[in-house]
Amino acid sequence: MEFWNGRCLLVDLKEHKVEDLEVEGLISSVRGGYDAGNELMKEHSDGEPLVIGTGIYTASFFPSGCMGFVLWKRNGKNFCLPLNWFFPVEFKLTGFDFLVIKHSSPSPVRLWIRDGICDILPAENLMGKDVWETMDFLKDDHGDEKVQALIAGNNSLSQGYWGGFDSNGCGEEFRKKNLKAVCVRGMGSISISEESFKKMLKVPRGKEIELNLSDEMKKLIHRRNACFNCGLNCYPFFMIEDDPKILKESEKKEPGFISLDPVYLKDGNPKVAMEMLRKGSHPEGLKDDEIPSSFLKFAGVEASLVKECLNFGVCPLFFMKVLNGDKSHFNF
Amino acid sequence: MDVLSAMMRMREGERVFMDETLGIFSTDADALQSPVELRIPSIGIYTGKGASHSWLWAVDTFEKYGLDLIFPFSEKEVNFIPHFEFLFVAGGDTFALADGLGKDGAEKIKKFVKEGGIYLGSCAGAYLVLYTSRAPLNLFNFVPVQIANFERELPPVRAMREKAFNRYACCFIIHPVRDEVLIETSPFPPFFSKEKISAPIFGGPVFKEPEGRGRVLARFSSFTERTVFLFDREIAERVLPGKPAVIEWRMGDGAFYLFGPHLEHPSFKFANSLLLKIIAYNIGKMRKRNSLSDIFFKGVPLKLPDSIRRLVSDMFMKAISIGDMKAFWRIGEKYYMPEHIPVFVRAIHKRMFKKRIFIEKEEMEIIEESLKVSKEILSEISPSTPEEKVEALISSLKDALRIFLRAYFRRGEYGALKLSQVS
Repeated sequence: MEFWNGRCLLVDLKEHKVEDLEVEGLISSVRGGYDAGNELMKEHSDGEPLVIGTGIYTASFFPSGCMGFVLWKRNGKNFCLPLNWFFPVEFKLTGFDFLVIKHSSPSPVRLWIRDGICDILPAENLMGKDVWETMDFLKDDHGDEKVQALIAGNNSLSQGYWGGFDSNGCGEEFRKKNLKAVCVRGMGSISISEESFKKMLKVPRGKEIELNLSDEMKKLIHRRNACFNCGLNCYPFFMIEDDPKILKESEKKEPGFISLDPVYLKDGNPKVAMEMLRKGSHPEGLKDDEIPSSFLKFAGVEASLVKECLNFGVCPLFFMKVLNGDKSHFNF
Repeated sequence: MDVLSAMMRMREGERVFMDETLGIFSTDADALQSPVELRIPSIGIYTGKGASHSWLWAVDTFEKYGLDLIFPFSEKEVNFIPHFEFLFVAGGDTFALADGLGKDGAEKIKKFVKEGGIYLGSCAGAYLVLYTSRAPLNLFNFVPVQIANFERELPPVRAMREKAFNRYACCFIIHPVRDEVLIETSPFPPFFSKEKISAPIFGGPVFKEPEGRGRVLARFSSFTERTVFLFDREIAERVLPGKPAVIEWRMGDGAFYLFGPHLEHPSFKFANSLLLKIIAYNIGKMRKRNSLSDIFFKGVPLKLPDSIRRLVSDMFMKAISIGDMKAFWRIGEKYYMPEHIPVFVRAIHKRMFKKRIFIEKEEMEIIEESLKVSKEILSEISPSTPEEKVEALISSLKDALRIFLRAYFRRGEYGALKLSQVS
């Protein structure tokens, strides 16, 4: 199946059981990943599901094909946390397009997913650890620097070390399920036809965007980073424990940080921002937005367009800034 | 149509013919003067003691072009040799190859070639069968051709000292260059035309002129931007250009094809075309077998269990992560580096998603046990890991791979011998 693995991982945390479901039919019947995710939410509604999903072009050659999402329900209301950076790509390359997590575990656990295999591992040893300590542990335990993870922090879900947009309770859902982290390493590939590949190469790639930062913060920038396959380079690395002008890698263990959600920097205090990222404490706390308002502000779009972009796995900021909102680029 | 396209089309099930007087390929036999139909021959690949990782290049290349009746075997399994039509012995430690194969292996190889089999020797596999007085190599004195990269005194080494030479009694076998070189083919069968082809050399022989039943099929021509000089360039210029790089030596009904460069390396497709031409040309000359050996029909169709996939997956990640580690270990005459380890693990990793392979329960158990041994060593590997441990790691990986690849390339289960497999 082009662009997709056609597979969904179903994890029952109560029974500690893992199942591999075929979802080609589901994918073919909907517009894209977000819609498929919602269908999975309905199908597995008996288990208070969390659905982690990807879009059509996630992990493909389509520029900024980096997006994924988490879906859940709370008090009858639907919530969605957009995921960018690298987790959705790494997840899709494990051989699964979706992950449905049902029920809660009787004891703290973490998931370890790679090459079509999912292990439910104990996580008691992680319960006292902050996000950064947890991420360090996961990289060491699995013997690979390239693993990506979603980690339940103080009051939010963190994408690896660098936070994220969770101010609508996704981290809280993880905690309710006694789920400390979902860790992935994708070593597979996605099937893409030569014709699609050639079309994707013609999609405009954009260029580095202007950053909306104070002069003081700009002085701390060591380098610019981007999500998977994106040319906008939205994310500076702020070097606060070493000289931002050094060309080589810092020898300090924690020289600085990236913040996936610019709202961490709203008070202009980088040390405070770094501590919040370490602990997994989103500055906006817990709100009741269907999609976090800080993400809508970051992308500069309405919620409906976010959902459409999540169908395709493409960043909405890229979609507006580079593709000018032209959906014809999605026709393959 | 070139030989690469011909093989790809044969892989897709089309009938493909070679003109054995002109060396051209077509799906239309009537378009050729003396057509011979191509088929997939059985190829035994030696993977035992002394074999490094380059035999996996041959597996990848043969599989890519549809020559997938492949059977890897170890030094304890030389009894399988008569079952093959082609025997591929790749790079590694020549002395260890000889020691592993031993007298029994030598006799089997000699009988195999005399009775019409084709021996393909690359790098150490080529050195193995050249004349020498040194035991145990002297068990394999089949091809009376000497090497030209032999010096009584060692010139100053410019780079990569551990790969630049091997001691041989009081003299030295030197390797003046590594990586890409250009070789020029001879305008007669099996290559049929004169052309310059790039191919990689990693310590393989530079031959002297064969006499008698020998022919030079290709000569070293020149160097490229990618060529790495391990000695002064003038030494490389003296030793290689003009000297034989690929030779044929006929014995009985069969032949030895020996190459200094690795024609089987998957990143050099034009070098691969030379290897495929040798195979295609000899298929036509071989007596047709009535049936495929039953070694290709065994086991029951099963999916690799999660326990094995888990081991391979976790090992693959670890193997990739140590690829940049600054270390090397000397095992016999061969130096292994961390970047060699992922080559072995990847060979299973990229194939383990195949839905069904024909395998026996006991074989699954051997694979799993071997992988457990490998994983335990790999999890603790560091620059200070003793050579014996690294040797045990490579050995257990090869054991797992040998059994896995046999199952992967099998044609069917017990009793499923199909005459349609042979034309």
